[in-house]
Amino acid sequence: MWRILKAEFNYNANVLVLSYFVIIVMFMIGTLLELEPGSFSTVSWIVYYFAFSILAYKMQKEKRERLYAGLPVTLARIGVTRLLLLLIVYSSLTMPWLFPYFMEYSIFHDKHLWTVLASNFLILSSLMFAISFHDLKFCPVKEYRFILISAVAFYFVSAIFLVVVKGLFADKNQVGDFASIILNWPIFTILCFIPIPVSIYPSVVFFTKRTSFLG
Amino acid sequence: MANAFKLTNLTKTFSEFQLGPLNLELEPGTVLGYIGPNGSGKTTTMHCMVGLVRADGGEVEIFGRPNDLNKTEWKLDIGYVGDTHVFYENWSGEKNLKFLSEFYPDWSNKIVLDLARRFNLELHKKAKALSSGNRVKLALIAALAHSPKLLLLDEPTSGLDPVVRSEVLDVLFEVLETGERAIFYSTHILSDISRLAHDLAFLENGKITLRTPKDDLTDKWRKISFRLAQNNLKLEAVVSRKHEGAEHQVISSDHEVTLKQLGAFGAENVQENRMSIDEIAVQILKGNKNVANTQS
Repeated sequence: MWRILKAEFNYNANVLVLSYFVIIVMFMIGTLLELEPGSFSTVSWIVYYFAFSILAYKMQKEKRERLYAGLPVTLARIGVTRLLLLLIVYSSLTMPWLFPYFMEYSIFHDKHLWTVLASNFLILSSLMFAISFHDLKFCPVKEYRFILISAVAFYFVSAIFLVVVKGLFADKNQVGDFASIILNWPIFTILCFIPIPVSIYPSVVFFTKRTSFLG
Repeated sequence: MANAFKLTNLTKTFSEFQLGPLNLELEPGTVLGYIGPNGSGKTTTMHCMVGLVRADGGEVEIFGRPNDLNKTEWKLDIGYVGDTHVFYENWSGEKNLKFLSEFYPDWSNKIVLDLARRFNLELHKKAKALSSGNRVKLALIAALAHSPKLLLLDEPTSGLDPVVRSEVLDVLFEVLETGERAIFYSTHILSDISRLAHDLAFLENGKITLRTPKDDLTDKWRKISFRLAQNNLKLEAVVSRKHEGAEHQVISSDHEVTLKQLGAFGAENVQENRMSIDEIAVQILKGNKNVANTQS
């Protein structure tokens, strides 16, 4: 598992270093212009998706799953390794700029930081869902796809519903106030975080149930 | 000793193709040539064996161990050269091999260097810069460097020039010298097989039509020409025939049977010629019913 991770980091060093560089430059510009963390977070999404798109493209083009599946490594370990790769790369891209903000602002007093954290959890969970959807293309158990689509739909529709309700009814009635509380308080960040640990096990199962690793 | 591999009722179904049920096994120390036209299921069989494709049914055993994708021991016994050669493209051949070496306890850099020299492969070149032939060589080195007990080779010599092809075959002969290792060799370049294989399995439309020792084929099959006025003869073991007037030419899958009959019919000027494996294979893959009679 660590040998594969080491190889991927080694192999993708250029893309990762470039991404860190862009993130740090953006962070410095954001600090100089005294931007709110939220606005910086939005811009950084572009870098994340850019970096992950390049990694995913290279892995797909070079049929990395096929390479891994031929190695004397269990499928479960390969499934875990892929998620670890995603988590480590994501965390390492986020931490350089998120950590200083947390140092400067108190998370208990600044709601923006909760929002920044929540948005990052949303990006991460969407990337994990994307991996699972990719695996399900090769999975014969149709119920898995139904379950995953239902879960993702429920998750995002609920989030959109809350945002709409908050926008329409905040400070007007109890439903609007409830939506406002959930969206503004740490509870929303926690709700955004939950899919990440919850989807780890299904993601590994989907990978191990695949019928083809030809890439 | 356990079979090098054993396929029991192996099946894999695609929308327009079904492989199997396949039943096939291979003894250690032997080479089985797997022969079939394009699309007959050779590559799919290999994919199922190495776990790149999950079979719909049946079992695959490698040296007595099921090819369970959640276990790794059986994979250490396999060296596989597939239809596609996957590497880290921006890494050199050397770096790719170093990466692979970390997964195999029996990996030998001595074998790597020796084979690179014999195949005339420059290991410092990036994988993406290698020609298709050189990619095959790199894949062969990767498959051989951990001294696997079973080599699964899917058309390994395609794209290689005759010199390197000959070198590859020499290496494979050396692999067999210990007597404990086996090779499952899929190809439609039959000249390779005629040198290397002990047994041949013919695959057509996903089914094995014939499994036989190679020498049995070359011993029994003959082109026979003769003169006989009669045209509507019913000759046993004849898989193909043509005639011009009284001059006949037939291909027999068992020349002794055919010659005996011809003697009884009073055929004149009977001449028999041995056939190459290529010629025999073409006849077998044409699917003549008489061929089935030769199955061992």
